[in-house]
Amino acid sequence: MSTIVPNIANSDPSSEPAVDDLEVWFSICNADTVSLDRGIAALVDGYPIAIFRLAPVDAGSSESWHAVDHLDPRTGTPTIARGLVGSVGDRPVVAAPLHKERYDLVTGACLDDPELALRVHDVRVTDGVVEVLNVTTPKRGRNVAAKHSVT
Amino acid sequence: MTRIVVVGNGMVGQRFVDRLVAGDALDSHTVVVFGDEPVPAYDRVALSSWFDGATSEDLRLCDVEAMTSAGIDMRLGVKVLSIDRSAKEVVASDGSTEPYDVLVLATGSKPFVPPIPGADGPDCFVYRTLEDLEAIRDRAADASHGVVVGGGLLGLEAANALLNLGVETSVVEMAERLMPQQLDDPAAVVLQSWIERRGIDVRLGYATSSIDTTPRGSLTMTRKETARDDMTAGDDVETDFVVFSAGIRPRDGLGRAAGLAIGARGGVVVDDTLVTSDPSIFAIGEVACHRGRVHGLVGPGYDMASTLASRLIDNADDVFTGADWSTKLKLLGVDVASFGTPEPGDDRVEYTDPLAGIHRRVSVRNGDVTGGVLVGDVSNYDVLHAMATGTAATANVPELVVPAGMGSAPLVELPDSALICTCNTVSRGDVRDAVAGGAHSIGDVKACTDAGTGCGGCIPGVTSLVNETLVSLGVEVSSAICEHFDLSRQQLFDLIRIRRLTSWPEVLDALGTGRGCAICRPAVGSILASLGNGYILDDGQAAVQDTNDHALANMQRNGTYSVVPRVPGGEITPAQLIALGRIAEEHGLYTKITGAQRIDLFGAQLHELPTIWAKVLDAGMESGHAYGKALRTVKSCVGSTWCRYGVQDSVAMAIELELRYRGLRAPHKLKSAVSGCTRECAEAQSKDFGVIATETGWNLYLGGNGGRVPRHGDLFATDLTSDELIQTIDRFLMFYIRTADKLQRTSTWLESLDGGVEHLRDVIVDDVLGICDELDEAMAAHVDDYACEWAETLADPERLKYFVEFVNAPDDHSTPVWITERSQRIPART
Repeated sequence: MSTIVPNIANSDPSSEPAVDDLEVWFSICNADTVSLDRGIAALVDGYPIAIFRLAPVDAGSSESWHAVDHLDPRTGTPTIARGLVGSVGDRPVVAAPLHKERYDLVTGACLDDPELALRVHDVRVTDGVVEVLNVTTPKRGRNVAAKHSVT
Repeated sequence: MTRIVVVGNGMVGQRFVDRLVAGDALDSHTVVVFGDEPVPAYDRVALSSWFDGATSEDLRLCDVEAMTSAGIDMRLGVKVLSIDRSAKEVVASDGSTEPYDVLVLATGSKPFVPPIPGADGPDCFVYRTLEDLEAIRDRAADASHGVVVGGGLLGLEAANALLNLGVETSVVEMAERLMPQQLDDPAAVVLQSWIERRGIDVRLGYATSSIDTTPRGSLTMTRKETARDDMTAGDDVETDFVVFSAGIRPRDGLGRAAGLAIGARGGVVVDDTLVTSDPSIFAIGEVACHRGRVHGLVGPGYDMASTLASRLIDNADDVFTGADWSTKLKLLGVDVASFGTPEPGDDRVEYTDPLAGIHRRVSVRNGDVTGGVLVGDVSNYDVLHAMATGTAATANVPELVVPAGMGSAPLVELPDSALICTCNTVSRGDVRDAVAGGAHSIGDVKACTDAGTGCGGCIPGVTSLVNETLVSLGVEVSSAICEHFDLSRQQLFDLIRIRRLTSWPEVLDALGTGRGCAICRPAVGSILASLGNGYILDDGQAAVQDTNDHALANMQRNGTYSVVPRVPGGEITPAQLIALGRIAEEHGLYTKITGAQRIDLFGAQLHELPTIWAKVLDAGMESGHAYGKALRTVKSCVGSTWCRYGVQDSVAMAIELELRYRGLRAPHKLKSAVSGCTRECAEAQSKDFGVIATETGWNLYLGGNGGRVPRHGDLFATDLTSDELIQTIDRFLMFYIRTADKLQRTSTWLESLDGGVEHLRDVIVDDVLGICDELDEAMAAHVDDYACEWAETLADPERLKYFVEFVNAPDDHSTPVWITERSQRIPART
């Protein structure tokens, strides 16, 4: 597996070669900059991603990390990372800030509207750094996202 | 003649003897009774009443003269030292030996004193005998403070005694609630509120590691560092003396020394015939270990005494098969009962009124009452107890759970055709049909009717309708806030306050399950903020703030935010107006005057918020809390300052009220207004608390509401002075914050309040619950601790990290699509 880490903060991702054909883990930030049970947004290969760090649910479990689309499928706004996390039964979920639909953070499925879903992305922590696998197709292709573009 | 020797003249031993007398056993039996206390049997259960003035004679259960004349040999003040089983005789402390055919051990129990260094000092007492009470009384005479270790039944009895002796009293309990054996959390909370109202300081989760004498001669109880410490107990306690009432241990030493079988937790083992491992020796009461248990209540002891007496004198085949642990008693002025053996999985029918201090819970399994708990009102105990013990058939449980004298309030019926969700044109009939069709939760009803999926303003109404319909269909309705907390908001508020929980992880760990959700997290966040736990975005609270609270701004439909500075009373200087105009221009913000006499700036992105707010603060303004469930604005007319009709300075009063209550987080947003005369230009009657000037003072209206279901406030008080007005509003707000349901406005709260506005007047004017001081203090603390959340945020660079859009690309931003309309920038239409 390639370990190229594009530094997109200081470069224009659209001018890079076609990195999204490769498996690339993007370094995002130090793990400890993400608050427990709160999301952050990041740009991964130019695409807005919501990353969540969930507290252990009980004494026997450990923290878990989840990455999903940051764009809210219902409104097209880049807001998912600002939603409240929680659980429905054993499923970890995030509630969209604007209309509170709940999305399963493991599958991306919307629990309140079967027509909506978030894509789920691979996230890991390596040596204390949060990394997300580059986001592949459809590249910024969602119709609902048309109201927003990411510079 | 059969010789019966009874060791112990306590309540159970005496009951046994009474049964022998009543059964004419003395004709054929010789009875000898040993009691090591110098006084004959007395009512230990009523021991506390000795401090209330009852004499030892009042408590006495045994008439020695009558016993003696009946032929019983009473040996009081004589202790039995040993049993010689082979010779069948006992050796007593007066040097005598007494032969027996039948030996009955009724030596009872002794108080358990935990093995704490210092617990054996001269200022440490137990609470068991009249002698103990005399010693406590003598010590209390020149003491100012005493501690009772143990928050169980006996501990609370002891606390009552200390209170009656005129010393300040603390109760420390290792468990996380009072009476942990008998009560569940909500019942214990209600009980605790009663007890605290009596002035007793209650510390839960408090384990003592040592008791040390200070140089001044008082005692310091050092609290053990346990895992639960952070959430409960407070600091070490300094006191003059300590009373241990932390449980009992059987006085089974005679049996042990004689080689009788002893239970795993102590106690002389008996079978259902109450015989020990020696066929000539029996044990009854708290010294006996029956089926592995020692029964620490007098009821089972009396059962054993009667059973054994009839076996011995009538050769009856009575057996003791176990105890009913039900109890009903008055503790510190409050009635408490627990009965039956409810299991965790049982269905529960509950009634809780924290205002009246009542909690009633009955558990039902397979259609039968299994048990329950009653606090504050024990009416129907007899019937419920009979049902729980199988002596009566279960029926009418809901009617029995409702407190005495309370009829169910008639419901005002709206027609099914009435709309409940105007966004999606959903009628009440649609919701009822959905519920009848199997949608039993608000989520299900939303999914199949779309009700509440628009603006969401009707959700409380839909929720009530769903519950109401479920009740009419005979389905049990839970007051639980969500799947993660089996508690109503009131219960949650009380538990968080009493256990002094200060962060989300503590609350979830102590009271909840799972990870919480978008319902319980903001509710807990609001409660923590109402209780004054500091900056709301710090670690323990950030994870429960809803989107708006977390950004300290209101998210709009395109994901951008609005900025609403506070404009107290609607009064704003030209310089501030100019500053706001300039800021809006610089950031391309859309501006609008709101209904609450403020100026809303729309279209700010997350990363712009700190810059914009720094400019607002520079202009001498502060956060308007439009993003929180908190006080919004106190609107005003110009009043007597300008208006020829005005009779009071409504602007000054509005500003004073707004500055007093700014930042106060509540179950829902709070609105207010002050009108300078009865023309009512400020529309005060449509506010949560509205004030209208009179010639001599102020009239106060409470529970008004605009919104989906408008409501005029109730006229609560007339011609108040400014100070009276403020004190009344203080109490109204704090009482609402403590007792309302989640997202319940003051209007619906007031309507659901049992007894309505009259009850409110009883509580916050006449102080029938004795909580006004507490409410006043809570508001004073709020006023003292207030800080502008934006000033706090800007002062700490660490806190600005929340206002970066992309963590790995701080200079990149998403770009909303804007269009221009009437010369201002607005979001593109969808």
